[in-house]
Amino acid sequence: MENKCYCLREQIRAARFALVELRLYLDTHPDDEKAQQEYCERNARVLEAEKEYASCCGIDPWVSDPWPWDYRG
Amino acid sequence: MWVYKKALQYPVKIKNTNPAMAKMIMSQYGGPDGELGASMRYLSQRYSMPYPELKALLTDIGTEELAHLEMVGAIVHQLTRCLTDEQIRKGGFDAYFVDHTNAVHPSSAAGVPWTAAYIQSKGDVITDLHENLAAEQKARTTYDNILRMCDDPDVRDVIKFLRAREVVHYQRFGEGLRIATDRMDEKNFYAINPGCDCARARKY
Repeated sequence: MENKCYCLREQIRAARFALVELRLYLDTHPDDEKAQQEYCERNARVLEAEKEYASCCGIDPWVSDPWPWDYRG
Repeated sequence: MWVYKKALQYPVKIKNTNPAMAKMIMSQYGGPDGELGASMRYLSQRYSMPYPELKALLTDIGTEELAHLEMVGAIVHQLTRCLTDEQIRKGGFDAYFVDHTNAVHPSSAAGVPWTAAYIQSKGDVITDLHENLAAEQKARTTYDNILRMCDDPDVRDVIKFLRAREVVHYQRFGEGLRIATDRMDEKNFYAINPGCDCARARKY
């Protein structure tokens, strides 16, 4: 279960990164409808994945540890 | 406005501490060509940009640089956890330690505190975009230098990601420059400064 949650989290991270890349492209090519469409589709899939993550693995707590820079080797 | 997402853009998982390396990587936190400078530069320049594509680009890249700042801070933090006094001394980290213990503080590898003198926000589209193209290359070079000095695979992995992003940002600013020069007076694009020549800028 933990493995599945870890994998899902990494997949979501990668998918969100793809959105960032696409967004930068769209900033300088706002009329590219195909790219707009892809952005919407990818965004929807990320939101789906985050919903699935929340229901299977729980909502990431805000206050409690770990925070993103915490890592014990 | 900004919303914070509680995650790093790319994972930082460093198993071994190394204060000497932390000192070097600190330059990408608060050094002349580091991520703090990059984010402040782009987020400051966007107010005087006349074209919405450039406002969007500067906002998005400036925000991404804040995410990178966070990653560099995470690297420095993980490299300086739980050090012994001997490790601090051997790593040449003693001077920094005296002033900051193992906190993360925006300064360069040489210990010079971050200053807005590292950035420019000149209010001229062509000038600011050239500043940004140069900034991305300077950051890329700094990462190249860090890679030469660093053989820890956990650290190298993250540095290579950050370096690749600088190259992409450079290309995006190149696109931005193309958009700006296309829009401006085709006979002489130095004829107007659409950032402040409002009457003439309205024609676009």
